[in-house]
Amino acid sequence: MPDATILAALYVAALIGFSLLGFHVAAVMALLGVVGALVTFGPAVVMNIAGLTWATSNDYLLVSLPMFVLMGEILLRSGITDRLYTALSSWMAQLPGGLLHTNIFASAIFSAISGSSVATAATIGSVALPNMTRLGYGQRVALGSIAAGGTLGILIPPSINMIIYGSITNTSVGRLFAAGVVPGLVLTGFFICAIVVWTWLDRSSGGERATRVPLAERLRLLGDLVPIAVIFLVVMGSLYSGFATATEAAALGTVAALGLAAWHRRLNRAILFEAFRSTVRVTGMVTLLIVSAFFLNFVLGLIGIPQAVAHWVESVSTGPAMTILLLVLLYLLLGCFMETLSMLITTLPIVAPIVAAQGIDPVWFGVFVVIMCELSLVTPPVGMNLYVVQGIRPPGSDVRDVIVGVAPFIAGMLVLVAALWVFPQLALWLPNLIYG
Amino acid sequence: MGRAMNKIIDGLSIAAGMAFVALALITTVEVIGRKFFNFSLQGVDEMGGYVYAIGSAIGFVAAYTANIHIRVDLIVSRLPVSARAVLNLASHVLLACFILFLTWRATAQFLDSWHLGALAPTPLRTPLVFPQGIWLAMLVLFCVVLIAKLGVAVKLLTQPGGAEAAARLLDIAPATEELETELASLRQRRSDGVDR
Repeated sequence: MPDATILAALYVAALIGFSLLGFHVAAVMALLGVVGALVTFGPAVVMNIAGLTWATSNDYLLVSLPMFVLMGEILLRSGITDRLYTALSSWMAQLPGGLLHTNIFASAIFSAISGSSVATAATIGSVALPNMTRLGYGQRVALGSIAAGGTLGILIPPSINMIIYGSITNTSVGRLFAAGVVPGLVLTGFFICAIVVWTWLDRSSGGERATRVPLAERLRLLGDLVPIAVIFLVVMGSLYSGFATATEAAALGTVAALGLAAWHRRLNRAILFEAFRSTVRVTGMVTLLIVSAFFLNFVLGLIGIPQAVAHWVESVSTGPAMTILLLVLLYLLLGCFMETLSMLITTLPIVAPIVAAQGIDPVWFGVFVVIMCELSLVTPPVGMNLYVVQGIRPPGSDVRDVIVGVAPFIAGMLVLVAALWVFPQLALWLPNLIYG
Repeated sequence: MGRAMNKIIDGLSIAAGMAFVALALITTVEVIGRKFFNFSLQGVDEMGGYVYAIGSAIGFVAAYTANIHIRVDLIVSRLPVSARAVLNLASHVLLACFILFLTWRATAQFLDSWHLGALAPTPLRTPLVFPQGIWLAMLVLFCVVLIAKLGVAVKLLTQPGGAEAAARLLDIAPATEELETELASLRQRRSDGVDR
């Protein structure tokens, strides 16, 4: 049997190579699993692929995945989340750079609820950008705030990325959700600081103040935030009171979303069917990646690759700090050319055991890895959010404006990673408080 | 063939969506019943697993026809058309091999369950041939769609000057495509909202 370290190097090279050549990432993982098992154990393990896939597809925790996607789709398609921006901006437009701060808050909440950074950029961006141009805001900071704001959704619960991390590494999703809350708020704070500094350095980018919305109108608009609060309350409340598991909380959230859509008289056949189509597509896309990853994970574990790599890392690394630093560099690099979800799913089988061997808390690491995913959404050349924000601009505009605009927010994310290392309690305090 | 197939996949997607809604409702009844009325529906979690397995298998095909299974486009779109056609074809062939293999093994699993009369190790003792059979049927559907698409691509490739069309048929979806869909949906919501 070949040396496990060599196999690990081959694995990484093949994974990156095939992915860059445009192969379906799920098929590449399955291929690597099949080849790895054939080379080391012969056909017996490979023949069991259907059993493993069936077992993965039956995982009750993963049932939360279509539920959360459906919840987000219903809220999105029924237009309930669309009112978020107007409500928030009526309160914040008076602040210096107010619409920029609105972008951050609106994108954060919108993406956390809808689970889609594309829908976030489309909805917030197409309302915000014309407004901001009219009021003379700097293009770059405006674009950057929307692209960066949309990344907050995968850190703030409920987060699909956290569910996937939890299921692959066998970590409590409840704890992971709780662990994302404080870092999510801190990062929002960092983004606000980035805007304050930017508009202070470049006074012209802060825009004119919008006309004041009368208080009565603002109070009325506050009502548009109620459905969002209801959803958070139902999902998080049921989860943390010990009332429901993650999957049950997702089901309660879906039913609440249906109720809210019906209340707003937006529950019709067209909206529901569109939500169903989108939910099933997204579920299929994510699940195919997950089942391939579980199969590959199983094979790699049998071969002993994660252990070999962990051993190797221990021999070159001076300790957990060095390991995390190396992982920051690895994820920054991968994030530049890999799509976020596939980056998360393909690296965890190798990375999670290394981190566990170094005594790093899996919940803390979940938060870390999700922040690295956020970074990958905005790092060129393939940061998804850069392109969706660019996509809502008039044809002929330069994508470099978005890239420059997002740079200070990237700095904010890196500062958060450092802060998390120094103060791990930022992530761990809340889950420990709730779960003991 | 293409249009009929899309109708079937669309119908299945909507059925799966309805099953998800039904599951959410039943789960809600179960949670509230357990907490406040001291009753519990047996096997909601087991049913949830089946609904997810079958729904996601329908999703495999639906995601494929919508071209959203994840591929990285850093190199492919910058290549000349012949290389693009070859790489795209190779990519879809690999995916087809994976799904065909999985389907073959799933058939063996289904036949095992059938011959052994296998029951789920749960209070419901569900005969596994039912959920596994539907799951298998969805995988078979995916195989049919994959083979049909590969057939069209190969036919295009054999025609003179067909490389461009074949490459386009199998191309990676550009990031802007999903955005266009979202923007269209947003405009739809706005126009619906006028009479609100």
